[in-house]
Amino acid sequence: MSKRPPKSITRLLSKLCKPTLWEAIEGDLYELFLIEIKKKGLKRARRSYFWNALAFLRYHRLQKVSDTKTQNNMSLLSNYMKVSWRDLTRNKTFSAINLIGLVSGMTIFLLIMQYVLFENSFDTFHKDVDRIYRVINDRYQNGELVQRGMITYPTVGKLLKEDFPEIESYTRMTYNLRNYLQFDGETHLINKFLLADEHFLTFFDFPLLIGDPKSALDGPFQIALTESYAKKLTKSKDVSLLIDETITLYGVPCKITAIAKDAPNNSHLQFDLLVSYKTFIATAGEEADNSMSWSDFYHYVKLKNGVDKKVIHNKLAEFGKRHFKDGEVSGAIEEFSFQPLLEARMDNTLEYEIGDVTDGSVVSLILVIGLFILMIAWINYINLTTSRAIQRAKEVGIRKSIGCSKSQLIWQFVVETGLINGIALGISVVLVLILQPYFNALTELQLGLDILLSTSIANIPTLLFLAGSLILIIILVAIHPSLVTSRFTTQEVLKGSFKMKGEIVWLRKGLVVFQFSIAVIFITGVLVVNKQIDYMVNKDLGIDIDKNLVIYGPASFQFDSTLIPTIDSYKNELLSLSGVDKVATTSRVAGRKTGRIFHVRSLDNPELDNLTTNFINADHEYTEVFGLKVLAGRDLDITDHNSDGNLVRNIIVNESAVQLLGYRHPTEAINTRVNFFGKNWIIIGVVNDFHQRSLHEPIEPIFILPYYENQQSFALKISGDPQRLLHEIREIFLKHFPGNYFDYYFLKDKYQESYLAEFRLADVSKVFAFFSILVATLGLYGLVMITLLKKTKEIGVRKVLGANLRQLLFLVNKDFLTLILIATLIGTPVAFLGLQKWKAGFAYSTDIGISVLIFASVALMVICLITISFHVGKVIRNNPVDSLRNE
Amino acid sequence: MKGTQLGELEEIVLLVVANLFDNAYGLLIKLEIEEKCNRSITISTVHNVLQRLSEKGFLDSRYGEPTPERGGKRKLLFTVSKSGKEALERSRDIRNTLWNDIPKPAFQ
Repeated sequence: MSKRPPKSITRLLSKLCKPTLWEAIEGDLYELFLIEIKKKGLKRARRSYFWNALAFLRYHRLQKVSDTKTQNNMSLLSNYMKVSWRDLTRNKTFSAINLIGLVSGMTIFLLIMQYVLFENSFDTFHKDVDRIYRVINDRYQNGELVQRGMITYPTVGKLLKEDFPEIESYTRMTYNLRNYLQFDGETHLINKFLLADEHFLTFFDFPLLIGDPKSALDGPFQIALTESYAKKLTKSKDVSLLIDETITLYGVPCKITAIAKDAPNNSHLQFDLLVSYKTFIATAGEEADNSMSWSDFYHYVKLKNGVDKKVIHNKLAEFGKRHFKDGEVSGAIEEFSFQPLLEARMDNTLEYEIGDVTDGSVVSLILVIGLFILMIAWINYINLTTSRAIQRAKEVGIRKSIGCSKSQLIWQFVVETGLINGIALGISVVLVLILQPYFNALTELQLGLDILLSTSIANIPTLLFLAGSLILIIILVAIHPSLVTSRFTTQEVLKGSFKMKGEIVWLRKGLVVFQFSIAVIFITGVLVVNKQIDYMVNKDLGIDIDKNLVIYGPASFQFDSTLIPTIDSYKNELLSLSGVDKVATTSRVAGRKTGRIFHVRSLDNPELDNLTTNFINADHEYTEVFGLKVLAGRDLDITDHNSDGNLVRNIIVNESAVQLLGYRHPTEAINTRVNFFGKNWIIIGVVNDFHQRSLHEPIEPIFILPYYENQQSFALKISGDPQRLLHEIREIFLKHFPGNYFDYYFLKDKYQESYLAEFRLADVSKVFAFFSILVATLGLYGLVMITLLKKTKEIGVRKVLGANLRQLLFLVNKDFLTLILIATLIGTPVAFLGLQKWKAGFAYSTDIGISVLIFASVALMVICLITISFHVGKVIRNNPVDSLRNE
Repeated sequence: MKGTQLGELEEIVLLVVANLFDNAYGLLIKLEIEEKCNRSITISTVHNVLQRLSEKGFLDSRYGEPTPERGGKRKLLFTVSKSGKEALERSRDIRNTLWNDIPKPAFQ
């Protein structure tokens, strides 16, 4: 380091100090600097020089005579505020229109922002989130993608780690929904638990309150509870007492080794408890560890620091070929890819998803819509302010004649815009605080404004980002009206002979068209979303889910030769209740995703090999309870069951399965044979196609196998009062399956839960559409008011000359209605294309239909016509004498 | 009358300038005050006071010759003007009068 004082501060001072004094000051500072080097050393001397020099800025006396202009601007600012405030309060209608628009827009935007930020914060609490990937497994058969899912084989993680030095670690898991455990003599429900391997707790950042992350899950029969579940078990007593206690899961005693913090709300992996993966191997067999064909397992991998994802992606193609040998091993060609953990939440297209995920495009769509409403409000402001420029012109003219510069005029408008936006923001924040509980109830999330403080956008803290954007927008919004007004020359203004320039009028028209195009899009959107929901709720599913009560099956009930007789006697006793008409038991009640078989071979068409189908285990009353029609052959009957699973031979299939097997008509399939699960089966019947799952999903081939399973659910067709029945059913259930947990649901309700996202979208889009129309029509109303101010005289003259009401209404309406018409012409095709894309997410959807599009446009026109005529009517009814005298 | 009164710091600076006759410049004044009065003062404050005193007409100033230890910059040298001397004397007189008028028992 040179023995020189810091340059920057010297340069600054040299500019600010009085030139006559500067040389003396610089010399003194330098001399002092040399003394201090000797005393304190260079580094501290430099620091001391900096502070000594900076201290000179305190003294006004030592500085150049200060710029009078800046002082003037400071006092002008308060003048700007005063003038802005007067203008706001004088024109109450316009201020109200602007405020209502801005407050609606900002309130909606602030709420939406919370939601969007929350969705984007998923899984960010993991320290290594940038290096963690989910393993996706694609399966191809006969050149077609048959499954793109999260599930894969239990060996994949180990093989990946062996093959790729770039992988630092991996974790393997599977999960279980709705299971039960026994603790302290009681049965407790578990909503979801993960069977996670010994790496899980060190791989992710799910901290333990008690226990060692390295060893908590490293042996069989070890369990980590979440804090809230532990509290449920101990009934809020000290959870640390639970450590080393025993609970029974799968009928086996397991030891509690750890208490984990609850997974944060923004974790896509949620769980009540973690069970060591080795427990699963111990109960389900070594297959769970080393199978190359059993695919129920989930893997996450962590790449080493600095590894490029692309490099490993290119190598992954080889990996699938190397280990699965083009379908020889598992019946399908297996391809693997890695999905960044940060993308997991926003992707709901993967089958057999383990986490809580959502449709990312809906999240972006909602954000865009929120921005559009804000834009409509700001456009109102621009249009109204520009149009009123004429009223303001006198003020501006006087300002100019006493020497106001153009930049000062612009500042006046910036301050004014800032003021109204500031007021709107203040009201919006209060409104958000009031609406928050309702919003949280709607989204079923725990949101709040505090999320703005804890997140960042593009690495800038959110609050700062939003504040910066707002200031930028305020300036942008203010610039147009200020330029318009400041363009008038003083003489023009004071003589009163000035006109709007053509380009300004065009811009205003363009903005109105833009606003109403958006309104058309929203109206169309609401109509189509509701039409689709109507269609989904009312469509004939091919399966009868009405009045269907589902009882969860017994969890702790061993599969043995007594199973079928016990279930049958349970069923018979249920049937003896008046009000229970039919009972069936099945592994997959309608609404649940079915399991798949990947290696079906047709024995009668040998070229059809490696086919993929779904399967359901059910008893012989399944088709009756669910109202399926037998199209050919016969239904299952009691003789098709056997407590020895190996002796079960007969199956029924749906129509899609008939096509899969290469038959044109159901009757052709009867008594043909297929091979899967290592043995031959005979198709004895064909039932109609039905929607096992929501209308998002296409109908797939299904085989119905006459198996009884432990844990399978009971579907009851009922006609009586469910509440009375439930009590009796519960007693019968507990009599046959003592010690089990009784729980139930109504099938139709549960089935329609798959449309929750659509129901919510319908609610939200109604709100959006309402506000976009409200704000846009308010703006229109304001514009009409201003236009009429200028046309009062014209209308008066026309009235005197004998024009009737209809002609006058037409005169005023035609300009605006032309704009609205153009807006519908632009908005409708955009809405159509956007909604087509949205509908692509459904395997079955209703046509948008030309009538909906026309209705949306007409509705908007009518709303606008009413808005315009509402004000026009008042003006027209005036006595022309008043308006003409108004000189 | 405002403008003729001396503040405490102004008085000290004025006295120091007189003490350092013909070599009174910013930094030396600062060092002298720190040594003799046993108080610390920043160089900027010294310059500010010097400037204030000049404006009141108590100080005259001129630039000296450039010296190498100041990076070739000239010193701004101050001397006490006639009215400065009068102000100091007035200040001392006021004090003396006040001292003399203290009744004896007051400090016992």
